Amino acid sequence: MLSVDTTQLLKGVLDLAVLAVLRDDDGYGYDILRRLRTAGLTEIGDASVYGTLRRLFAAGYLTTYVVPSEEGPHRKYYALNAAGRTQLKQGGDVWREFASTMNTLLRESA
Amino acid sequence: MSVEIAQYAAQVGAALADLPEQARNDLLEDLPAHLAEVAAEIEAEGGGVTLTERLGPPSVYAAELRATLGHTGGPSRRFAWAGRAASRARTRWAGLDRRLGPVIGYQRLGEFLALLRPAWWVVRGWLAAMLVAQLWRDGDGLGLLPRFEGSTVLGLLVLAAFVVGSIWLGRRTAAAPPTRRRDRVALGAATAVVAVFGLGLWVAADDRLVGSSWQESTPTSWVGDPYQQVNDVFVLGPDGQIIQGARLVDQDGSPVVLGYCARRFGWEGPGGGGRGWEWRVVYPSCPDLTAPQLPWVAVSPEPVPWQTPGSGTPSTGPSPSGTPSPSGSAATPAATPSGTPAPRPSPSGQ
Repeated sequence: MLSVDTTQLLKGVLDLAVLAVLRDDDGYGYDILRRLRTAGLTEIGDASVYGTLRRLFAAGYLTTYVVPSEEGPHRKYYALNAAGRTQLKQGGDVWREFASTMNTLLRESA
Repeated sequence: MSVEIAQYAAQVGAALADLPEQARNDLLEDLPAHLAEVAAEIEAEGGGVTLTERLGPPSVYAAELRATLGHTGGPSRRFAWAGRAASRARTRWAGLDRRLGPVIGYQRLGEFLALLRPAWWVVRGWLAAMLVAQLWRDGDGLGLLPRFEGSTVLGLLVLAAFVVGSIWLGRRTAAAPPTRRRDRVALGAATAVVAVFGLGLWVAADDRLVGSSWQESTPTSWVGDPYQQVNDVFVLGPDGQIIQGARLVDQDGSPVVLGYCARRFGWEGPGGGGRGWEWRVVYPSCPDLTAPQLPWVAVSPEPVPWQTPGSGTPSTGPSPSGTPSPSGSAATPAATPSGTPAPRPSPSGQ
């Protein structure tokens, strides 16, 4: 049995997915997870999002700022910077190309 | 809750203990704060759920975190960045590869480039031979063939050896790329040196070609030409009179074209530019140029400057052809059937 599950597929594009949900609105960790799940990536785990955010931040694609919260702890918000937007654009191009190749392949084999 | 958070974070940290310090810190630095956010969400949703119930056991959470690193032995952040840059470059190339290939009638550009490989092997052999020859003779002028001690034959032998060697190496590395990293690096470095040398060679050759054609096409000889100011030439006979229809000849018997009008005759005169036009140039050659006012001609006779005192008489009478007439044009005498610069009968009789 061919094992293609979303988790495997997600690995390669998690960076892109996280950058994408931050395109219009900054967000904090749990919020970003929720956006991804709402968008349909229901199997995504908290650790994956958190780890990806940390890595994107370390790579210089994100900036952070802390917003005090009335009830509960402060929230660390992540925002795209210029490098992040460029990365999102380039990654998006690569993805679209890849997706269309895959679609063509799958149509041919259907 | 905060105790639970601290415990959970510590357990995740312990599970990641094998990671390099930098990568581990990057991951864990913010973990307690993040877990606090998660805990706050749990609380906002009504609570009653532990972190472990929500996020899974710390070991699983740690494994998931580790997976986001994209690699398990974790190189430093700088190399991770370099790796990402390299993979970005690869994906860009893959896109170009597919897009540009069809332009030249191939499925992929790489397919076409692969066909050029043997050509590159030959060029590489040639460049390597050139490089060795260049080092050998301490870099005076670059030709297009390697020469050793001025010997072209030896150069050709070396060239052949290098080309054959390069082809052999090319076939070998194409079939099985070197598996040892050191070999790959050495090959890459050698290729880079040869490529840079080739680029330099090419630029130098291009420079020289452009330079020499520039010299040919630009009248640099006129720029430094001492006769640049000469418009016309007046030939004086021994009597000091201007000789009309004179021709100038150099030591080889070739006609000398001197002065602006004579040159212009070459492209404007009757039949100018045609074969042997130089022979049709006679001096004075400017049809509308007034002859210079020579003090010894006509007006106030004086001895010609080069005549030894007392020898003969300066001729003052207008010689048949000696009139400095402004109408003495180049075109008329040019029509003389005999092109020979025949010595005209000198009226001075000396």
